[in-house]
Amino acid sequence: MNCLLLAGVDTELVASLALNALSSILILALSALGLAVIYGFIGVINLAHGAYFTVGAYVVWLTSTELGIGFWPGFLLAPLVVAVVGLLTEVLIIQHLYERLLDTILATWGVALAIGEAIKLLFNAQSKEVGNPLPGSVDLVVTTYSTYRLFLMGVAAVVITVVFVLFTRTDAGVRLRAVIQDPTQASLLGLNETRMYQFSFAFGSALVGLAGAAVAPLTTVEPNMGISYLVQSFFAVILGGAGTLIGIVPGSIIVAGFSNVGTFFISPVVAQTLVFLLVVALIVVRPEGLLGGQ
Amino acid sequence: MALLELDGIGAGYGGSDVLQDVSLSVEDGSVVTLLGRNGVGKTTTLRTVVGLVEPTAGTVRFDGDDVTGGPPHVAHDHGVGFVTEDRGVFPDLTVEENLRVPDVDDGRSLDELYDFFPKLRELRTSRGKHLSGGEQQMLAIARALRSDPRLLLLDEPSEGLAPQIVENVGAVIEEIAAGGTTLLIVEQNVRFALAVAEYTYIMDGGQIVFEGSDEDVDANAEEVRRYLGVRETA
Repeated sequence: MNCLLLAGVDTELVASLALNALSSILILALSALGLAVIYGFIGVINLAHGAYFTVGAYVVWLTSTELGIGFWPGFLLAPLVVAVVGLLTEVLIIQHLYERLLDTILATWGVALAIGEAIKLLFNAQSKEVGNPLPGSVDLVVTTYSTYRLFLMGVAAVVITVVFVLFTRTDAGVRLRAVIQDPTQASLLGLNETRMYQFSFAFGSALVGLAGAAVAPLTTVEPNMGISYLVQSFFAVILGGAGTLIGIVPGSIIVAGFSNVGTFFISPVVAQTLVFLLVVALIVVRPEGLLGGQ
Repeated sequence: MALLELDGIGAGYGGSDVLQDVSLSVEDGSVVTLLGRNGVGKTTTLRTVVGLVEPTAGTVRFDGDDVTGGPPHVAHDHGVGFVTEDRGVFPDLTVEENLRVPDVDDGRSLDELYDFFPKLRELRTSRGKHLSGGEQQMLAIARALRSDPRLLLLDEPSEGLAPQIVENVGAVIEEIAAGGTTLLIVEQNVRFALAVAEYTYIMDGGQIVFEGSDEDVDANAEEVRRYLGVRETA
């Protein structure tokens, strides 16, 4: 009797722990995918990635509180707003700095600071709350689990799958890969390199904007909230291997899965430190990433 | 009527002249070859046509329109295809993906190209980097034909290919020409070039030093041989 009870408790615990880890992995993968499109494809190290994430979160905060039109319009609007922010960054700044790696790092960091300060000026530095748009939980037999988190996992899984299909199966994806492999030949075949870079930048930005909007109800919304996602997204992309979109899957599993489970069993600080050490060790052993250089 | 007209083109990299006062014209529907030794400016001339090199002087006219200075995707949209010397096959794309790259609304269909190059149909799932030199050349030509260009520029199509493959490429080029596509072919393999072309330009030191029909080339064999450094091998 006692034994059965214990076993029951364990199953529930393991299930909810696994679901928490999985939802963190999927949200990170969504954010990292945006970064991978920009970094892996255009070769720009976009340090404004975290700020874009923050903008996405502020969009849903604005629509659900200040504007009073609710969470869902913001959820749909966030990717579009952040796509525009990304496009502006590309057209006004990045475009003039291609092939100048260090300059793009500094410039995008400047963009990140400017966005952070603009948010503080407009909405002050205090943290905000975004209400859960799907309160309640779903009975999954072995455990009950937050409806909103389940919804997010579904959205992230669908978006990630769609992006993979777009890049591997459609003409647009083939052309983008062609531009990355050989921009000169691609232009001789009629592709407008500048426009394709702009599209990629806007698209990658939209993905991280969606990730920011998705996470907003699960956390506190504040001007620097994107930093940890910037760092984790980079870890996921570098681990997976820059230039391979699919690499962000194992990258996210390691970074988010490890820190999630580690946080539960040990402590957040120790877990983060271990993830960091793991990333450093993997980079030393396999600089091209887990799936890179194939 | 001239489909392509270069008028007084000058070009150079970093202050040194590579092209000086290059003028040539390619009639609609003709096959023209541009010969010359290594490094005399043949490739730069082709790069100027598509806007990969911006000339320091002169104009490039395509079908009467001034298209000087690019960008290259505009030349493509005007109907100029360019198969570069290195073939420029995308190494990590499959044969079929390579053929899907050209940005065209109503070009040739993949089936049409596969019928023309049956070998490519067999290879359609192979990656570009795994093809032989001859297969890459076929793929590069097929990819350029996807856009159904009015003018096709070929830079040394026979280079590095086994004699048997060179013959195949020659047959393909003749078939393309028979289909009405205008061709401008840069070559070092003089025999190959003269066999397919009906009009010849010869460059030396960044300038056009000779031009003429097949009969003119025959009549001035001594002069032609001098410019080409005697490589009229059998």
